[in-house]
Amino acid sequence: MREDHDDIELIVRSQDVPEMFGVLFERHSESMLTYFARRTLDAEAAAELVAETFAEAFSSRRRFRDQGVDGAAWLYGIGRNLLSHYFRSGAVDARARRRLGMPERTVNDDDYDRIEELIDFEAVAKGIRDALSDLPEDQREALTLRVIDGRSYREMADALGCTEQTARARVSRGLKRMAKQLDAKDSDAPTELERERWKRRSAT
Amino acid sequence: METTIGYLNQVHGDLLAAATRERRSGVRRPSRRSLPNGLVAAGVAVLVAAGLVGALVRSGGIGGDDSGRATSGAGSGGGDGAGATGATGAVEEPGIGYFDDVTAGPGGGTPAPEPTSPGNDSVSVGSPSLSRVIRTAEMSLVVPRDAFGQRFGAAVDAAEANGGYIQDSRTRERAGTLTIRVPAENFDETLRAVRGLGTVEVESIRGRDVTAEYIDLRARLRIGKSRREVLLRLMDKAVSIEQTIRVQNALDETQLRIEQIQGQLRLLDDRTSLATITLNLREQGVSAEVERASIPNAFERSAAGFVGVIAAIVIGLGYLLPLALIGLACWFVWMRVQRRRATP
Repeated sequence: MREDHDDIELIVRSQDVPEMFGVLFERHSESMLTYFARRTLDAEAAAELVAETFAEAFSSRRRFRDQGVDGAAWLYGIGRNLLSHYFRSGAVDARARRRLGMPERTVNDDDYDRIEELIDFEAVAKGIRDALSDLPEDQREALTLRVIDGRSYREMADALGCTEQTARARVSRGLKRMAKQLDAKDSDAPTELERERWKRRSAT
Repeated sequence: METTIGYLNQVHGDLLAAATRERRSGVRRPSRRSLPNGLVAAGVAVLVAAGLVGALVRSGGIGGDDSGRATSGAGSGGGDGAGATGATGAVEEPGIGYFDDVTAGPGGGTPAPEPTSPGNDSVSVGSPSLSRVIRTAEMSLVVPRDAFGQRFGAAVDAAEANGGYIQDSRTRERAGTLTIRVPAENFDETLRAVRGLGTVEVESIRGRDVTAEYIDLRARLRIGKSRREVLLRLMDKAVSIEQTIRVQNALDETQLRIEQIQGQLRLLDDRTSLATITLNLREQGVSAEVERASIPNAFERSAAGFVGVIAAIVIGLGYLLPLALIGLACWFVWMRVQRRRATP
């Protein structure tokens, strides 16, 4: 019977029957863990982000209004906010879990291995390779010297025959472009466009 | 849950436990953002309610209003406190009560105060003998079609029948404004009479209590007069020209001050002994006179409106605050009882 409900129904029904939210967790927790693991490349942070995302979603599920948008997009919207907080502060927020009285859990060694399997480093490496090869020649060269060879900007400037400032600019532009490409390739998460659409709809 | 990752299984269990706790408690846990939203909504609701209550109070719908808005009783009457020295003329004999030499009304067209003593003054029911209240009313009436001329005339008749007169009259096509002055004791009667001339659209009655101001002026008048007496005596004793000039100057100043006070007293007496009724009449179907739009006018009106809204909210909060406190206490007790029941 549970499987009959789509995500939106689950969220809406969980407003009266809180346990229904567990089904949502069963359905999305693992793909969300993959999503976080591939971005953070840190098994513990990824696991905590999943827990915090669902705790936050559970706390705020009463604000969810069925406007025909994807329930998963709502979850990932919360997840992305927490992810950007993690990138800014270097720590995973735990306020929602504390509010719900959820205990702190630790990731054991077996979990580490399994989460790293989810990350699929080969796929990540391939993605990076592809993204790198898609870059314009000057940016790819600059990124290779800086990130793979670990050269200083002064050395890079000498090698590339440009100023240090230009070398910095090429690295910066290359990183931005790669990040955008890697983000677009991730099929687990809603795209930027979907997220924006969801935001607009929920605002109306 | 079908996953090989132990962490996720644990979190799944924790979430279900939180869900069960929430359902058992029976209390909908407010979400992090909905609490402030709820508070904001409650605050807005309280302000709106306060504004409505305040507006109702200001319009006289709820409770008593001590500001003198009530239509009965507070009038001072034409002869309120007139002294024993007679009705007219600025008689400057010192020391005969508070209202010893106040003349009544501007010019000869107004009724003279009755020569009653302050002690046995019996003007309006329930008003203290010394009270002075300026009463004004503004009324907008809609009269039937083609009856404007007749009703306008009837309003003038009503004013005259009650001992009043028309201070100002302005008419345009099938609409007009009358400013009626009537003796304060006939204020209510006149209002009743004009009210019957058509359908009342707007009616506002105001009363401004100027008793304190009146008494203060009277006291200053007495002091001025005493001073003048002293100066007159000094004048008799002045031996040199210099002394005479100095005393004369002081005397002039004192006289000027006395006359100013008397002028203010006359004005107050006029305003209190004669009430003012502004009557707007218009025929059915004729639009109310629209004020000519101008930016200063608009600012003035918006500022007045703003002050009015704030005043209404403040008044309303005053009425609602005790109720809100009682409600809050009940809510608190109820929540505690609920929480105790929810605790296993």
